[in-house]
This record gives sequence, C-alpha cells and structure tokens, in this order.
Amino acid sequence: MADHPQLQDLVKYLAVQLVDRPDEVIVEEMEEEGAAVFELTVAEDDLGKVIGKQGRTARALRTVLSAAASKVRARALLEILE
Amino acid sequence: MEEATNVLKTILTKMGLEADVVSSENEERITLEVTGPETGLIIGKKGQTLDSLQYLVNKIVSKKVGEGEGKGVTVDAEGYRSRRAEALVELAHKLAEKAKRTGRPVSADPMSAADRRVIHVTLADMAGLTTRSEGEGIYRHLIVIPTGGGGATVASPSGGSPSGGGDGDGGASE
Repeated sequence: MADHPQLQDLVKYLAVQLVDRPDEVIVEEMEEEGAAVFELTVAEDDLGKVIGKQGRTARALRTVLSAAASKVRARALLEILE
Repeated sequence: MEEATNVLKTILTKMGLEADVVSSENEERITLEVTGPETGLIIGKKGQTLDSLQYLVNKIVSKKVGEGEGKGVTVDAEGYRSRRAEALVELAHKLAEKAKRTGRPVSADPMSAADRRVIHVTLADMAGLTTRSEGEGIYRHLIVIPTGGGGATVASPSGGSPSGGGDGDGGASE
C-alpha cells in the first residue's frame, strides 16, 4: 500500500544520499492505526549511516518526515528495519 | 556551495514545501537562507525541523565532497538563528545572575551543542562563575557554576577555588 508516494520518495531520497550502497535501499509504506508507517531497509553495513551516533540521524529523518507529513495532514512514522 | 543549495532545495521540494533558498558564503561557513510562505513549518518547534534539515544537509554534503572536506553548512529561515542567538544570550545572563545570587549551580534545559556554545561563549569572560555541560545525547545540558569570586554574595563551601581560576572542577560535588 502506498498512500503517500511523495513521503515515501522523500525517505528514499534521504536514505540513498546517506548510505554507501544506495541500490540496497528499500522503503515500503504500511498503514497502522491511521498512521503511515515507512519501513526502511538498508544494507547491513549502512545501518549506522541511517541511525547515526546516539540515533541522531534517525531522529533528524523522523523530524523531517513528520514536517512533510503534517503539510498533507498525515501522521507518518519511520521504522528502520535491522 | 551549489551542492549544499541543491541538496536542501531537493529535500524541501520532496517535502512538498514551497520555498526558495538563497546561499551565501564566508571563509568558514556556507549559509543557506530559506524564504517563502512555509518557513514556520520549516523551522518547526524550537527550531527542531531547521536543525534536522541542517544536520542532514551537512551529512549528505560531506559524504559527497568527503568527510572533513568543505565548509560547514548553516540552514536558516527568517533570521531564526540570529533571533535564537539573541534569546540565548539573554538566557545566559539570567542563568549567571541566578547562579551568583544563590551561590549555587544552575542548570539550563537540554539543548543542542550550537545553543550551548552560545551560552558558554557569552559567559566565558564573566568573573565569579564557570560553565560546563553534563549528560549525554538529547539530555546534554549546560550548568552555570558560581566559583565564589567576582561578587558572589554567598560563598559555597563545596565550591571550587575562591579565586575562580581553577580547572573548571569547582562545584563538582553538587
């Protein structure tokens, strides 16, 4: 399901820019309790790149995603799959 | 500079936001100023979104040009950073006044490294107190510690050296 292709594209763009293996970035959209959940998968070696020290990169990704979602009056969550 | 501008413009477009980016540069940093009707959303609560955008743009640009190469990038909107800096200088003086008046260490709320730096620098030359940061990650916060010199009305017995020149370890037992 992909109700918010633009948000999905945003998450994918940012992840692709951050990792060493952009071809292994997968973003899938799910719906859970009225929120759009974006599941991000990256190459194992790239996990640290999207999480960051003390989760700082993941937090920045979530903040930017939330701002973009609020613009279209949606609630969006980012899950990084390990 | 073009690289940083393009990255930020791309992110904003993909966020579905209408905005323009004006770039400028000095010897140390690149500044990207966002303008347009949606700067409120771009700044976010307490500048959180602006900080996140700045963090990601720096990460992405340094990946492109090589870690440690190139200049740091500041992302600003509607002069938010300078307004924030003014508010922080004001806060620094309030914290200093309270620390001196009570003779006890005063903690600020957790804030970013850049914000803490403004307060450290503001109070660096002030007599009778010292500043340091404590805590990890998002909990890291700044503490203003009276050192007993420079006009403190109450001397803290557990505080550091009375002359204030010490190693910044004064008040560690608090």
